[in-house]
Amino acid sequence: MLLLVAGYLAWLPVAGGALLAWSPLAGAGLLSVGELSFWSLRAWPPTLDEPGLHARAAARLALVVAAGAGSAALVVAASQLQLRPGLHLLAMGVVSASGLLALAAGLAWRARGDG
Amino acid sequence: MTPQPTGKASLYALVAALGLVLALAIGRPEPAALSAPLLVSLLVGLALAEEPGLVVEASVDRDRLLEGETLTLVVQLAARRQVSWLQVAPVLPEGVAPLVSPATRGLGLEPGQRREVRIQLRCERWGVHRLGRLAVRAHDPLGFVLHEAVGGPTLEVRVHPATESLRRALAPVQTQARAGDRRSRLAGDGLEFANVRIYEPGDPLRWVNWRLSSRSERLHVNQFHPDQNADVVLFLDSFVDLHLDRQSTLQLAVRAALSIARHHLGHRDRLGLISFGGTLRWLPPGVGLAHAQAVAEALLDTEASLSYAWKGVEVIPSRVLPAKALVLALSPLIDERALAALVDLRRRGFDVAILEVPAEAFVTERDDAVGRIAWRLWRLRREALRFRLRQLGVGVAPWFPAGPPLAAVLEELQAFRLRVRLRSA
Repeated sequence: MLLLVAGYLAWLPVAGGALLAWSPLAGAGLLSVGELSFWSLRAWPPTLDEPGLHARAAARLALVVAAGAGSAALVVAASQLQLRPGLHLLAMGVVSASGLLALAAGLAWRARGDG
Repeated sequence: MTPQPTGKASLYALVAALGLVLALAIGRPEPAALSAPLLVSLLVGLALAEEPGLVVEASVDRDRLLEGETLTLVVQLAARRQVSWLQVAPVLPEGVAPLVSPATRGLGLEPGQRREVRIQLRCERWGVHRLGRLAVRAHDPLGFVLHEAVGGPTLEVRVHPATESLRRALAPVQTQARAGDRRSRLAGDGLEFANVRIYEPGDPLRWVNWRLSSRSERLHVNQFHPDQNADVVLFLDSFVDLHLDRQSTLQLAVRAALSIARHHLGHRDRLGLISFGGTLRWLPPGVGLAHAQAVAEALLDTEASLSYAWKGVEVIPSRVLPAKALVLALSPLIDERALAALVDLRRRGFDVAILEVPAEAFVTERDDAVGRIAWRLWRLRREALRFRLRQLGVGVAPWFPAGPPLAAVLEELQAFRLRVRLRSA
């Protein structure tokens, strides 16, 4: 996954703004790769699964990828807004990014502490 | 249950953080757009991840069975919250294996739903096995957190060894007073003809041999061998247990002991059991179906336990060793204490025979000059030991499943005993 991200980012200076339109698709692809990789890892230890379990997992995966693509499209759409660049915009970005990561950390902490 | 974030959660968080930081650093939206799906998936997944509130119960469809038979482990599962993928694996003791591999089962659970998983297990080795322990792993809907637990009830399953059906076993030298299937060497009231003698006052008229009496002009009576039972005591040497390739000397000894016990109890002999080892255990001689069951249960519980304490025959209660009993020992002939006890019993006048589970089959020779010499010396010492025992009138016959059947080995032992009796007569 990290290699895929690195490859995509390496194209950024070459392709310029042309890559932005493809970002939701690339994000969804990256998510698909991640989900399928972890699905294959889950196959160990070998398990005799009940029928229909994998079909339900595949449907869930498709839904997650679609939602992921939608969220990436939102980011792309937000980037098209004509906002005045400056320190306040940078500060908003830093706060948003930190807030999202803090939210993820908080949720992870909650999940760990559940038991 | 113990919650544990998966590697996926860490990786998604790392990639998302990198994307956001890079987007801020270079002032372009592409890295943020690329990492957005991962971040959204992570946030939704973590928000949905909750303790599933699993209730797991286990039971078995039978708790007594024969070696090689199968049983079904029934696992009942219920959860308070949805579990998208639940893995259930029985923690199996040695000697129990799943009939269909893998034993781990995967299923989904809806909130409040009750599901049943049936896992068929094959009992490959006799003994008392403890089942019911389960390893359970519940995955959250998006696979970011898993909840794991190992536990469950202890279900005791008693697996009896598959025994060999014996047509004949060792015939004790002396019989007891009770009626049984064995022909007594003494003359008395019975079915099998023994001898003819001159009539004595008090002899029943039905014993009179009229044909001989009419020719000899004196009354003669027939004599018969009465049918009596015998006392047999199985002496199980549990000081040492040698293992090789999932077999052990004690396992084989117990298997043979159960075959022999079933034969003797089937012929109305009284059978006792002494497990002579680190822990001394005994069962006084008895007859009948209930006693047969008690012997089987006692044999199942036999295990070798390490002890350095010297034990002699004086620790065995006298009621366990009745006079005129045949003491049949099952031993690898390794431990000095068991050997000394057997020699002591012989010297006290007991009829002793040894069915040896040969230690040679459980020891591998080292492949160098010193190893080969050591191996030969050790085997010579063991041969000398068997010779000394035979000199004392104690029959020793080795038995191993790859060799001749148990019945043939017992025949060999019986032939030796007969030779000893003829020599001493």
